[in-house]
Amino acid sequence: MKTTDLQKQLAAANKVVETAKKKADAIQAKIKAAAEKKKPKSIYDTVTTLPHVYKHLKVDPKKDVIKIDGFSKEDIECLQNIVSRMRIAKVYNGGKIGQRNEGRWYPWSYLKSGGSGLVFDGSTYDDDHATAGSAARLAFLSEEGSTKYFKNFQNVEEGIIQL
Amino acid sequence: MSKTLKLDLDTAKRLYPNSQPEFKELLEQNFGKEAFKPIPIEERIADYDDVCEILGVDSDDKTIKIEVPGFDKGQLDNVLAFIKKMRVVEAYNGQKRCNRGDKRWYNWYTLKSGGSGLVFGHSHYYVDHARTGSAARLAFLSEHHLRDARSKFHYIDEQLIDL
Repeated sequence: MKTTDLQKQLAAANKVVETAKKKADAIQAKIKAAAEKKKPKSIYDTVTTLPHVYKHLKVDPKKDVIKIDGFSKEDIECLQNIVSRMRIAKVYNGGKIGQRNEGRWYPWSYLKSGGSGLVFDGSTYDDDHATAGSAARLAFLSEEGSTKYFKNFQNVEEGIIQL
Repeated sequence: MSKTLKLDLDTAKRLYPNSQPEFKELLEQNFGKEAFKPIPIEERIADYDDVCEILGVDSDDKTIKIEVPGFDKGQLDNVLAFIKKMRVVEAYNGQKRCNRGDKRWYNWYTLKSGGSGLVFGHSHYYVDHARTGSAARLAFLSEHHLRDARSKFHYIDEQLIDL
């Protein structure tokens, strides 16, 4: 056999291998996607809006009453958002309340100069320290919970911070 | 026809801030300059009743209406603590709200290991970052006021952090 014939046969064989490899990769991806579908979704992916939170807690926010002598509209809004964060924390923490010596995670943000709104700057935690943000009923019991809270509910955090 | 106007000190003090310079001088001549010196806020506030008096609101918790479906007593007490904190902050900040670019002061506590309650850790401020404690309606505009408020309203922070 001439060398060129062998080379042609090799090229054809390589093509077959390549096609088979591509097929195998596609099947692998399908298997992975099917497994992902079967995997139970995390609470952070299923509860991403306030209506989801209300549904999860089986509460009707229309029944919320917050009337405080001397409070401005913005003060009431701040408080309503604190209430929302308490509800979100309750759902994301599986109903568990933060305890002493437990990592209580919370987000912190960067303020764009001259702009408005918050830019996520990371989640941090307190265990033997505490501030308002790491309060038992406002903090998250995992870094993911805190980060996903900011990602999914940035408007709530902005409603609390009001800067 | 001439009439004699009689003024008591309380009325004079009320009129003074909005008076024309000539009338201010007249009041100072009659009552003495000392009488119109502004009293620092920390001298006007000894307890929560004073805070409410400054803000012109009723200090009785019964006048605060909070109904949040699904909240237990602990959560409602927490919300009440936030309301009190917001009032204290408003009184100390002279009803001025914090804005971007302001130093926003807040407390950081250490948790006594094995015990309960909070031990003061340090005062902290943010300018270009934010977290719940340094929110516009929860932070102090001066470290001096933060310190004074901490000495008088430590119990509110304990109720709010609840650890």
